[in-house]
Amino acid sequence: MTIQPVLWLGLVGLAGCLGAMACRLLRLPGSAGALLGGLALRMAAGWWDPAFAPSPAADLMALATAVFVCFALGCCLELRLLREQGSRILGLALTQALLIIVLVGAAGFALGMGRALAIALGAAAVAGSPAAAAAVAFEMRARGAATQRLFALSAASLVMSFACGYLISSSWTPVMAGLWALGGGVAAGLVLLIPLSRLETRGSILACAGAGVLLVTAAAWDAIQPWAVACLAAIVAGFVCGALSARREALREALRDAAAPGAILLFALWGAAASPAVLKIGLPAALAILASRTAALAAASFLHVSAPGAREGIALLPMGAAPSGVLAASVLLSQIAGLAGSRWWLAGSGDTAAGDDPDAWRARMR
Amino acid sequence: MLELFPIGLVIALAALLLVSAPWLSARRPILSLAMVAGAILGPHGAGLVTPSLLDTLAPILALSAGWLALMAAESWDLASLRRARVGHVLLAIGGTATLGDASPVMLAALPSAVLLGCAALAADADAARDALARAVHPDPRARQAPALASLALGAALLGLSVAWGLQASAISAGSPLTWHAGRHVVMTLLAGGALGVVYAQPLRLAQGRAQTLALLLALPLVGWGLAGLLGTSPLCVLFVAGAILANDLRRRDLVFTLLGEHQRPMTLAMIFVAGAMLPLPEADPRSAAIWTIAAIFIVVRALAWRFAGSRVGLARVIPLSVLAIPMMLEALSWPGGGAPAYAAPFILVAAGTFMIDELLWLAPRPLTVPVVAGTPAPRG
Repeated sequence: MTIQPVLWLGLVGLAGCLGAMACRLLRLPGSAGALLGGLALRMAAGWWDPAFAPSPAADLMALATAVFVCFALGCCLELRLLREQGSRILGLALTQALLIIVLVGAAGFALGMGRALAIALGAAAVAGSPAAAAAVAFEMRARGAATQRLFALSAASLVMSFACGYLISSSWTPVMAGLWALGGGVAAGLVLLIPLSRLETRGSILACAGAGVLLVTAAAWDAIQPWAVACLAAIVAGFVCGALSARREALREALRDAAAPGAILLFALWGAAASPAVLKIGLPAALAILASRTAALAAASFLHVSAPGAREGIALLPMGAAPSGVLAASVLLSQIAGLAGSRWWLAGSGDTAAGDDPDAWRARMR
Repeated sequence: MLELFPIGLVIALAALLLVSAPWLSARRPILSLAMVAGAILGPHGAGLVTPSLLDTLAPILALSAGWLALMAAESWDLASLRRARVGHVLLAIGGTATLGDASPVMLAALPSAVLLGCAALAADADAARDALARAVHPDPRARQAPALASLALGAALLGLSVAWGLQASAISAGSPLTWHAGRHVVMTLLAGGALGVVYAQPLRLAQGRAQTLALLLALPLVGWGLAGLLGTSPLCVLFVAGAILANDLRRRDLVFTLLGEHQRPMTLAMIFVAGAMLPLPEADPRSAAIWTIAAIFIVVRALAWRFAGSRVGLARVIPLSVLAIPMMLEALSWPGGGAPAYAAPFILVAAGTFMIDELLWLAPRPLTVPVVAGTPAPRG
């Protein structure tokens, strides 16, 4: 018996929510639970029907949700932070990229890969996951300098991944894709800014943002690296809207509140997209990549910040790619570990309100 | 990756967002823009929204229509039901009888529409109008409608969902009045009830807004898929589930607040796709009848412009379009029909919503709905 796309998406969402609720009881990030919930459902579906494969609608939904979460992240980025710390963040991101290429490449070499393949593996591991950073920060309602740094660093790692694309493909196409994402993001942001600056209510803002998500998703669907291009373009578009809109606080509040449940669904979809067979094969290599990537990020943060600042590197662990293909196991492992690391880092940074009542938002509506 | 998004669609979407700014500045209703844009970009217009894209977007359609079905159950708690007026019961009976009679062939939709409109008028006109405004219109004035108002919409939805079973039986058994119809109805009620009871548990345990909203986003999809598996009416399943939640849930206010808060993007998505699905009359014989009804709506809309300043005109005109919403919602998965079958009744809601939108915009003052202090200022 085949599973209809609508039912599959509903079940994935439900499994993700249940996983998120279970993880919140264990004081772990809900997004990690959603990822595990989606993965468990995919394994159950594989047991039910060995030939099961999710429909293309699930791919599109996941990409659109990721774009929405990244748009919210970009909108919450403060221009002031980039003015004050932009060069330091760029330097740290560059150091992280270099160390990741070296250490992950060395791990790949040790696993028996050729030199070119090992360097390509290192370059592919550079991209961080802005969606993961946003998921944890929005869930914890974190606001402050540490949150802003986390957002900026994860976005910068995405930019670095395009630059490193030359190492993977030996052509300038990925670099051009990155430039196209930056330019397209600015254009999309300016287009969205015009209606968004006239809207006041939460529902209207979300409706307009939804149209923007469709625009960015449609523009990036056929790109050479659709996920990275779409996420980077969405971050840039969100940043343009957040920085230039006169009603930026209402905009940020609406998007932040909607992106938190969106992130739960996104990670559930990612978990459900991973093939259990591929995960089993890639597990040893994934552990090696995870260990070397952790070391690289911690070392870069140690060099740039301080010994306690090395914890910041753990928060940047999630890899920025959909968990499919050869890196599926690495991406999944890094996301689970990185989501927990992000929560740990943000909880210790003082950006989250202690004893935050999860239903406090209702008081404002009365 | 599928070839889903032609470059023209990207340009058109950007142009649409740019056009929306002067449209909003002129305080024109945005729902109308969404419908017109969908019609222009759809397969029967410029063809930029391709049929394969519409198929891929089916979950969004199910989500938005199911969302509205859940919302329709907001006032179906026992306390409100005890205060229901006789007119609402008449509306339900009228909806069931007329569509049950007409369901074997959609060509008979015209008399059923007229009869259902009469049933709506026989019910309390104010309540029907408020129900419609509450169901389709995100205007803050409409959001303040009395809780009792959505009973009329719920009753009509329930009645039409019963007709869904009759339609399915007419296809499978040749006659609507067989035992299969009863089985469909019982299965629909049981499935919706079970879904509501089961879903109430995680909703009770959910912590905070994010988890509750994520659960609610999954509910219409699960309900839609479940109904598809059982061959029953998806909207009725979700409506019954919503009614269970309205009665059973300690945090029902939180759930329905979240549903109402995200109604506007859901409605816009649905109306956009509705516009894209506008079929040409020659594409499907049934759509000829639907176009007739749409023409009636256009005439009614013209009359509404004429009587825009008159309370009498509004009160008599608006309840007619009550039939548009449940017909559209239910017809999304009308048995025995593919895209044209469920596309055709979309015209009804498109025309109805367009009319309501225009009327609310034209109304010289809030209709009968009080504006509560602290809510955003009304448009117009």
